[in-house]
Amino acid sequence: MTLEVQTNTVMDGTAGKGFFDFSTVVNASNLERRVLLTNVAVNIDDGVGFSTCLFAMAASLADVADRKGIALPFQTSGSSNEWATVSRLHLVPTAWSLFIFCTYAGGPFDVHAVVGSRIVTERHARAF
Amino acid sequence: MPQITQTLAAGVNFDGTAGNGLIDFPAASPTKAGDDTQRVNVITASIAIGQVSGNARLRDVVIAFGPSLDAVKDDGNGYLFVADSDVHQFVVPLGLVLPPHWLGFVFATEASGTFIKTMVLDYNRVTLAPVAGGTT
Repeated sequence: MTLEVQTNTVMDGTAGKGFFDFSTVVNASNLERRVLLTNVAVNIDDGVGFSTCLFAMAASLADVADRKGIALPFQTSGSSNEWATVSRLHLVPTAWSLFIFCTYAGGPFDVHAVVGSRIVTERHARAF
Repeated sequence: MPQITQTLAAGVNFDGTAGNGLIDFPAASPTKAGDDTQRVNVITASIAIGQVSGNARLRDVVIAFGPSLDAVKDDGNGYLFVADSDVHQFVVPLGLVLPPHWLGFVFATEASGTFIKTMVLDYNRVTLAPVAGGTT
């Protein structure tokens, strides 16, 4: 599953602005229990880079705000067209979501967020 | 930066249990008087898992975090940081901020022979204020 969004507003983890709901790819025919997050990449083009990008995963945005989620390594002060990325493999419960927070100086500009993921069983995951 | 270390005898695998891969942050670094324990998160910096010496290898190395061991098993609501398999040493920056009260679990199995193995985790406990607009 690869998702991509474009927006001209600050990514704040809300719908259409940095919110990726993994549960939408889970259905009755797959009984897998984890999402394998393979990569997250955020890019701001058109001349001005981002100042801070934070990636968090949790059951809800409220849980992130309440410090009950997991925050991934974040990146600051990226240049124009430089990608803020998470490249390690992470396994999260299928009910969780990914929230991207990205701010930039001098905006707004187009923001591209690409999330690569797929549903796997933990047994499969342990084979990676 | 605080460290949690464990050394396992030859023939003993990391299975996430006490002394064998359970990372108990609260026990290692108790909160101070006056701390709001609901707000003390853990920042994991890096972890190294491997044998003390020699060329034997580990398989199915998985680093997991969650409120309990059950939570990081199948059908649980914990989180797994996928590691590696068939490795001599696994050293990786984590850079994760974990919810309060969560524990760490290391899984690794001897792939060739038996050998003494170690785990070293660098971490910090910090008190995070809630994000504006979030629940408290």
